[in-house]
Amino acid sequence: MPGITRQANQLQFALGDRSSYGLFAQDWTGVSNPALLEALQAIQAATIGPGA
Amino acid sequence: MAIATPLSVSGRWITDANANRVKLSGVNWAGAHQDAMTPGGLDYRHRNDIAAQIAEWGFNSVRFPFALQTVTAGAPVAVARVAANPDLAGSTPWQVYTACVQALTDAGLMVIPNCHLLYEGWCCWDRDGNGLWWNGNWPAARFAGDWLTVAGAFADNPLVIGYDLKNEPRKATIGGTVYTPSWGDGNPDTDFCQLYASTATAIQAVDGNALFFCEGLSYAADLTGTRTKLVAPAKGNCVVYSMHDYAWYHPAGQPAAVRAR
Repeated sequence: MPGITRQANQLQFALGDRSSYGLFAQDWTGVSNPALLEALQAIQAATIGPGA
Repeated sequence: MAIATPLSVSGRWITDANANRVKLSGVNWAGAHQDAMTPGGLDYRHRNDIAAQIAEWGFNSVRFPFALQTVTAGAPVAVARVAANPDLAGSTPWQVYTACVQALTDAGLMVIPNCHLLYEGWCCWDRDGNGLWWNGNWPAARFAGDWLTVAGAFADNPLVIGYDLKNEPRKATIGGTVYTPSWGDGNPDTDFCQLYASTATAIQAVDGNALFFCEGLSYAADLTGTRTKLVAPAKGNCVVYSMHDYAWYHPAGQPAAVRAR
């Protein structure tokens, strides 16, 4: 429902707007926020649990 | 490390066919549930490049939202939305969706289709009419039937590891009545524990190896109902309970229903 102020995060979008908070850059050619990606990469691997 | 499918649940862990833990390090690829019913970025990059980029960044999985309308809409997506994927011109939203799933799994990524909405659009709030698995325009049978279509499409793809059955259960106003999601009370209109079990059981008839991601109540912030009742589909060791965590969930902005417990 474009134009509605969302309850959860108060962001407002209109039809056709491009995401401004994704991991991909606006043109989808690379990362939007390298520091965020690095932070996520630091926790990608499993450190506990069964098996190898 | 290659994932040995099928996956299953062992205690608090997701494990592969060799009993090794599988930690899902994933991203959402949004868009197929929204107004254009087209995953984001297809106007800029080929889907294979997007999938390869996600894998290159080290992620091993993608949660892939759709709306029920995405599954059955008959009109082709707008050509501009798939400009960088010219082979998808003229395709329906569901054909675009399945092509993207194939691209993701071809890149070695695990995929978890997610029913994000009934009708396409932005998600989510209490008055969007999508808080339950049904509303005045979308009978419950549609939800179950479309999930069988989805599962049937991907049952033979081992990297489609499971299904996230319903995004962020929340209130819905239907016919002037406010329905609040419940857990384990047997209410046929609101009981998500029952809905998850019945949907999973139905899907198991077409995809017996799937995991089922079951989101908590109050925008996936409340799984306290599991203290007294677990989701119990016909075949076990397949239920993954799912919580969503946003900055605004924490103390000052936490949903009242959770804060009160």
